[in-house]
Amino acid sequence: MTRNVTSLLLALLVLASPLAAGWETPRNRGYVTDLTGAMRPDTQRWLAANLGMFDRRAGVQMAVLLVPDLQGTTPADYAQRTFDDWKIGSRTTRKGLLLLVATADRKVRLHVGYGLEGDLPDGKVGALLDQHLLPLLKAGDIDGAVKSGVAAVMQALGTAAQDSPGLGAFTGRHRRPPSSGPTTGALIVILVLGVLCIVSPFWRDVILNMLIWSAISGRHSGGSFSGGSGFGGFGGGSSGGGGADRGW
Amino acid sequence: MNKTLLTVAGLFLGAMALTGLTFISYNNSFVRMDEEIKGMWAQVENQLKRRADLIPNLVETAKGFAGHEKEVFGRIADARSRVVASKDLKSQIESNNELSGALAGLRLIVENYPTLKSDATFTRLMDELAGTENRIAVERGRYNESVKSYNASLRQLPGSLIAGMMGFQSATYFEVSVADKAAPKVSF
Repeated sequence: MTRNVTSLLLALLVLASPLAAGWETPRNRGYVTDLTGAMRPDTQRWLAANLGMFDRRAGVQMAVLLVPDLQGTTPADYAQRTFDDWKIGSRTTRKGLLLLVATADRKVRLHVGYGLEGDLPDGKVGALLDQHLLPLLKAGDIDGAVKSGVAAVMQALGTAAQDSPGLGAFTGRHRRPPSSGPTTGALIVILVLGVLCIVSPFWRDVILNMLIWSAISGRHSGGSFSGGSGFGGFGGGSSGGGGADRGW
Repeated sequence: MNKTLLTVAGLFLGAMALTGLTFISYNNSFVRMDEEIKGMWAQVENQLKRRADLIPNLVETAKGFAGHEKEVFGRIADARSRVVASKDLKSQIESNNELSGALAGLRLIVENYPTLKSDATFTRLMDELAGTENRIAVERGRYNESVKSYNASLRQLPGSLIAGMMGFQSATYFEVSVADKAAPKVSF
């Protein structure tokens, strides 16, 4: 009983904390989350394909996040809270990375999870940003900078990024059942749940509780509905605050 | 008569057992939280030590470009030696806040030395320093969170009674000094 009360309180705390801080961490949309709406579709496809391959081959989960501004906080703080919220990287190896670009604030940060602190010390991350991202960012080519940064990170961790259109094979589209399958299934489930909600107040409460719990359990699996990217959600990683940032 | 006595005795024993169980569970949770705080502080300490270890290299590199900024380097060296010498938690926090202030002074003068600013070794060391300070901030936040819940449970009834009897004392927050938070002053 006390356990339940405690976890409920904890849940309330978790829900309240972003509100108390004045801003909410953005909702994850898969490997690539573009809140500026300025990233070209081909860049998004290239990133999703390569980051998916990176995840499967090297076990490194790297997220790219484009935001207009940092809500008045530092790049490190913004990245840390988003990283904690998205739980990038697997629970065991904790090999997660977050590339954060704030376009209007002209700030970029590569945030490193616990499991990669040895491979990517802060000094190396800073040099990587200086060499592979800043020249392109200064030239106004954000898409190019992000691609070049991701390729450089993959290179540094022993996986070569691929440019060929044949990358479709790596996006996971073909590893999963045809996309209409899960979508129809999901629709049926939603319909059934919806009917249950309307028919019985008891079921409504149960379903609402389930929804709330799945929403706060941190694993935003929204990516699985977007289809095509093969993104299966991040795995429970964490960061101690490593990485480096730059302004341009 | 006999029955009443039995009932009273039973109630008394029940109350005793309940009190005892409550006592034990509170005591154990205090012990657990105390250990958790110690573990978190160890994480903070790791990062503080890492920062102190970084400084000699950083200062040596910077001196090569800005050797006559003796005041800045002197302040950093003094603060660092106090950090290394500090043993108890309170003096550790104070000396580290002092060191943060001294390092802010270094960041200010860097702007005046373009060759220093663009030096690869210095850039790498400054990245390591910034990363370490960010890690300190993260670990400090986690530490303060656990201190907060521990201190709150120590002060609430019935925890406060048990804590008083068993000699549990409130833990110290790692607060950043006001001087450190304020923007550094530029003097001409």
